[in-house]
Amino acid sequence: MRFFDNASTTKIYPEALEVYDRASNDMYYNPSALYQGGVDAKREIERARRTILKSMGCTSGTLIFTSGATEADNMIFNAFLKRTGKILISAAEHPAVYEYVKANFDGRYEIVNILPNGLVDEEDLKKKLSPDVCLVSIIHVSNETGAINDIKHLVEIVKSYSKDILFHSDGVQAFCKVKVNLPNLGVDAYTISGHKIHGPRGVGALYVRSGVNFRPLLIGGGQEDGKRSGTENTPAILAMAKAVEIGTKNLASNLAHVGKLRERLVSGLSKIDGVIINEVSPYSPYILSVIVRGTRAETILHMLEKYDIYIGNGSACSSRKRGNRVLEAMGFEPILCDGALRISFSSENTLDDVDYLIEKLGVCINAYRAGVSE
Amino acid sequence: MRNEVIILRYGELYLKGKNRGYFEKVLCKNILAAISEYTGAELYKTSGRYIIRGFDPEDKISIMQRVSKVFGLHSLSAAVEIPSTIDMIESEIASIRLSGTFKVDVNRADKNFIGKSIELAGHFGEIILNNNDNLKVKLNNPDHTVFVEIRENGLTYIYFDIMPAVGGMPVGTGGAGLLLLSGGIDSPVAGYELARRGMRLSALHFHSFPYTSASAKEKVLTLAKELSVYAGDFDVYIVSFTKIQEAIHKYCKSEYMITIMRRIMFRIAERLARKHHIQAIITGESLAQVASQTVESITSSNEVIDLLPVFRPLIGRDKEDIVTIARNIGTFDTSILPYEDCCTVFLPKHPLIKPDLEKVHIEESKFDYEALIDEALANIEIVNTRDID
Repeated sequence: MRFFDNASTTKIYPEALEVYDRASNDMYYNPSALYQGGVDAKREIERARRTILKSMGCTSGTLIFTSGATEADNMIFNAFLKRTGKILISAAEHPAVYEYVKANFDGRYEIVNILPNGLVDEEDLKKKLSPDVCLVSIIHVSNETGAINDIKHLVEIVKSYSKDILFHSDGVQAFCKVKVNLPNLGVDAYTISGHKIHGPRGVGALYVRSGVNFRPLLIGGGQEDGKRSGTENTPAILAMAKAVEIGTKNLASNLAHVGKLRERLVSGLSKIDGVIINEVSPYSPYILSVIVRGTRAETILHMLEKYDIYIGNGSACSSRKRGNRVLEAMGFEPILCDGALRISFSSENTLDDVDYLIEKLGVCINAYRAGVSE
Repeated sequence: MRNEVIILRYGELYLKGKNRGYFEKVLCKNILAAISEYTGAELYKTSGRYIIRGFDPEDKISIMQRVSKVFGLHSLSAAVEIPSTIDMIESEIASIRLSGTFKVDVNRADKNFIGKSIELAGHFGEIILNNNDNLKVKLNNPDHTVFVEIRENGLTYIYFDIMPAVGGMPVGTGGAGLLLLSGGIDSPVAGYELARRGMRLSALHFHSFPYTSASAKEKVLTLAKELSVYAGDFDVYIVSFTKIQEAIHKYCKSEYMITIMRRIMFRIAERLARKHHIQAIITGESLAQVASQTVESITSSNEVIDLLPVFRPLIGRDKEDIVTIARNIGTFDTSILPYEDCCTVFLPKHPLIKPDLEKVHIEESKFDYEALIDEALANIEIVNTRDID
């Protein structure tokens, strides 16, 4: 199997799986328990927390473990449910932000436009900042296009307007893929996920800067300092920390490798008639958005399956919905978006995989146009 | 001896005459299939009703919900079964705890049992009153009715509620039909309607991988599984329609896509049905709902059918009615999952609403569909609903 849908999920690192397995067998005690087993589990969780915070460049601040990035994203907005004030989010946000805000902040939010290059429109952001804005959330790396927003600069814009506005960024496609240093970015809150970085599913985290007021989403036994109740998922947390450790160590070499993969793919696909490379800049090389004119992405996806190639159409999280909100916000015609593919790499892909993908994608596109699927 | 039991009642209307034994046998088989997953549950026949005994009392509500979906049953009650001795009955009656208003309804089928029904009702009512503080007798529209049935078999049944069941005729008494099952809202409802008249179902689904996804096929199998709760387990025949659609797309004018597609689907359906001794074809068509459901389009589809009747139970129904049934039987939420089904592939901009048969014949003659039908039938995949998780 040649897997090119790594923005939807990744294969867990064997080392992380080993940690998961060991923690499940040897450290199944409730971390809140007072006997030694519980104390040991709690200590390991704290160690994992420090590992992850350190990899983000943080020496202070809180990392709250959650069931995943969706919960972490929901959590930061939930903190603002009972306050007054307006929220700004970008048109490129992941559904975990976009849909939550739409569902809960009726009349209290505005969408900041994105530009044809996939980045947030700074001028529009400036225009929409107003005295009643209390929270701004802008995705770090777009899960649809790979566009990297200049979060540091955007934070500066927001904070120079008002220091009281909280800045959150969803860093699911950035963390452990491109360099992330939270104090340098200046964000108040940041979301990460385990399974997008070769960790396990069912775990994510929300970073919250010290001094930020916080209202929990889940209330119960008071775990995570009362910020997120529910028995800690020890194996997943420890395994995620392991994945972070590996990902951080190899970040530069992986980035260089994936950069070459993307370059080869772009060069190969540019030669196929009717393929539009959705060029964004700056970009994370991990994600490439491509439109095949006059086709339906799902059909191409299934045709590639026959060659043991898996790619994504749009975002897998939203593949049940027609159209593509983010690409349309960038200015693509809805009809073109039907043919939008998302090809996303991991460090485990090879140049040989990419050559094979280019060849077979060409075959499939020709077959599609000829009206024969085999 | 005191048993928690479930009483199942079936309608008397269709049980008159020579077919009674046959209907009862089929119904019994269907109930047994429905309760087979419950450990210990056994089915007994008494006059005019069935009794389920032996189950784990914790399964009672689940069994009742399951059995209430067996066609041919009209109502059911959770009851206590005790021997028909006055001591046993009195002691059971004395344990009843109620508040509000009540009445006692005694049915003394065992005419050897001492006392008249009305006297017994008074007697039992008095016992209940003596044991409950906030309770009054009310004969019209009380909060609770205590039913006491003293049966001929020496057993008495005491219960409070009569829960309606789904009604209809036992599946298997109305012949066999092949349901054209798409992923939509209508076709499962059409299957439900005919299963309710006793028809045993099989289903035929056309998929167009890679134009439709594997998830679309899974969705149809889920629908079949949901339908099987009512219709009993059945075979789903899955036919790949890809090459046929590609051929129509290649050789025929685009506006004829749907018309010719429907005709080929009907040809495949009839050949499959006759091969498997299935006596009818069932579709979810509803007049004027979409282009392929005009009277002219239906005429065009029917033309290719050689012998079998095509049942369209929803033909005169409004969409809203169909949606209501789909919600009630539990297929709606699956039906609205947005996977492509094969009818949305290669959709022409302007499908023919009133196809002209002569022109259809000309378009259709442009390619060898018989060979493609043979190939499709040769590569059929069969999944039984009992094997769907």
